Amino acid sequence: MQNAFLAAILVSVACGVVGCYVVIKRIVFISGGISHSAFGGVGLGYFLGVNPLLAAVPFTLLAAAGMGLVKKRMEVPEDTAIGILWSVGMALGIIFVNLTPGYAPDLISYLFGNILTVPTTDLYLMLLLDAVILVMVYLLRREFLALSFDEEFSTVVGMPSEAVYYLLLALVALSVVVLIKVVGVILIIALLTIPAAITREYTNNLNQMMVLSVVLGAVLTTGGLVLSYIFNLASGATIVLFMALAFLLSSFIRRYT
Amino acid sequence: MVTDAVKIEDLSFHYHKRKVLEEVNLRVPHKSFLAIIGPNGGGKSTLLRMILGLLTPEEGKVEVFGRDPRKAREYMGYLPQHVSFLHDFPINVEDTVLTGRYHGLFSNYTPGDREAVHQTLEMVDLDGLADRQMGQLSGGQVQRVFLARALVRRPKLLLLDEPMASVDPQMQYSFYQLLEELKKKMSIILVTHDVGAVFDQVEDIACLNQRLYYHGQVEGAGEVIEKMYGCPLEIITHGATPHRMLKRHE
Ligand SMILES: Nc1ncnc2c1ncn2[C@@H]1O[C@H](COP(=O)(O)OP(=O)(O)OP(=O)(O)O)[C@@H](O)[C@H]1O
Ligand SMILES: [Mg+2]
Repeated sequence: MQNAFLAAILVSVACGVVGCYVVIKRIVFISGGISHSAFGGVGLGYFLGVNPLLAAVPFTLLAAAGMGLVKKRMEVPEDTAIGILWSVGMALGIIFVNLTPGYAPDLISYLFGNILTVPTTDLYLMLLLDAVILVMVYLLRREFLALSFDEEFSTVVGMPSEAVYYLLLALVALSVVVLIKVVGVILIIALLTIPAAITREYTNNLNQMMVLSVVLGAVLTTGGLVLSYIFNLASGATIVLFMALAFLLSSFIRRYT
Repeated sequence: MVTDAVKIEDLSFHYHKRKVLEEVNLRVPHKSFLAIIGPNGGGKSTLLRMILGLLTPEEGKVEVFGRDPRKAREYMGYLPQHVSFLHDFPINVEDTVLTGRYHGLFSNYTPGDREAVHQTLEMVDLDGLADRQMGQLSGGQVQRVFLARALVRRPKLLLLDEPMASVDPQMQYSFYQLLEELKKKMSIILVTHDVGAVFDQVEDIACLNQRLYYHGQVEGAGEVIEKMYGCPLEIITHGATPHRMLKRHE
């Protein structure tokens, strides 16, 4: 149970900070694609006999680079390309698991998450990834903000905007890995969007929005965790539904007060 | 020898298979003020984007102050024709203009940058709105913020793509006065459909419709413009100065 609360906090840092970019740069769909294709990395981990979460790091980064490449360099409509890569990633995951002798324990937890079974080693990995994310965001805060607001103008003022865009997708990939254990690849996109979507209604400043999203993410994740414990429900799904409820309430309050 | 602000030689460009620019030659001496006019889809925005190095020529050559455009970006200020941003994007006017002072990776904006932002916001009459969120501005105010963002770099070459769209007459007037001041210090290329104002304010004009049909003194351009737009120019007089307007075919 203690690990579960720690995991909830670690998850909130990633989804609060990176989720803000996902929402304001409008890369929700691309991020959904990256998170689903992370399942390929999980399968690869089983196949190679290494920690699936660890294998998901390089795999998800590659998937993110692929998404970026398709968007920037190919003449395929963006949503088509994302749809393809999204399912290819998942299909690869299944095939890798098929090829692995024996059966894959807790495979389902990588799909839908299980915050109650996060081992301590995974917590360390999540902590490390959170640290990398925070350092990247701190160092590139000017670039990420300008790029999210107006990509063409960023290029005009001399920013290596294509490289910065790839780094932003890398950031999404890393947060996906942080989130896998808690909500699973299928539900990750909810955590990357909902806290940021709620807080952006309440502030005009990106830094504030990030801090608020982290705090709100932590409150909602632990809230969902407690609810799932009380009612004996799947934790990932309960967290997502609890967040969605908060979003509805917040929209309602914003509209009618 | 003084290098030209812009030198374009035999430039051609296609989007997919559609020809957009064909054998364009253009020389813009430093500290001159050129207006580019031409019908919708004539390739004006495309030409500006080639000068900025956002698009690469298939044939021909573009130079900005004697350099490859991508290496001359520090000299250029740009006001795009459209910027679409999220209505509730968490950024205010000051920070938006500040991005115009970007120095490069890992280097912070300085107090001098903020000072420059405030001076520029004064120039476009927005000094009271520095803290306002971008999504809470009117269309004309947004346009002025983007003008400030282009000017805040103190560019040597200013590229303006239809800056007058959605700006009120009062602001248009002070805008042209501002350009009068600016053209002493920098080269300006202005894309516009406001033919009347161009005739009053600009000496040098270029007419672009895939090809460059005319480049020279405004006075000689009347016939070309009529042909290009396919409708006659009419001189009307109100007040002291004669105005020229495009007149629709009956
Ligand atoms: N990104 C693009 N992809 C494909 N075709 C494009 C693209 N941008 C412009 N075009 C085409 O190139 C041609 C020139 O467009 P451009 O925007 O340069 O015209 P313009 O002279 O600026 O027109 P306007 O007065 O409407 O602003 C048009 O036929 C347009 O359809
Ligand atoms: Mg245009």
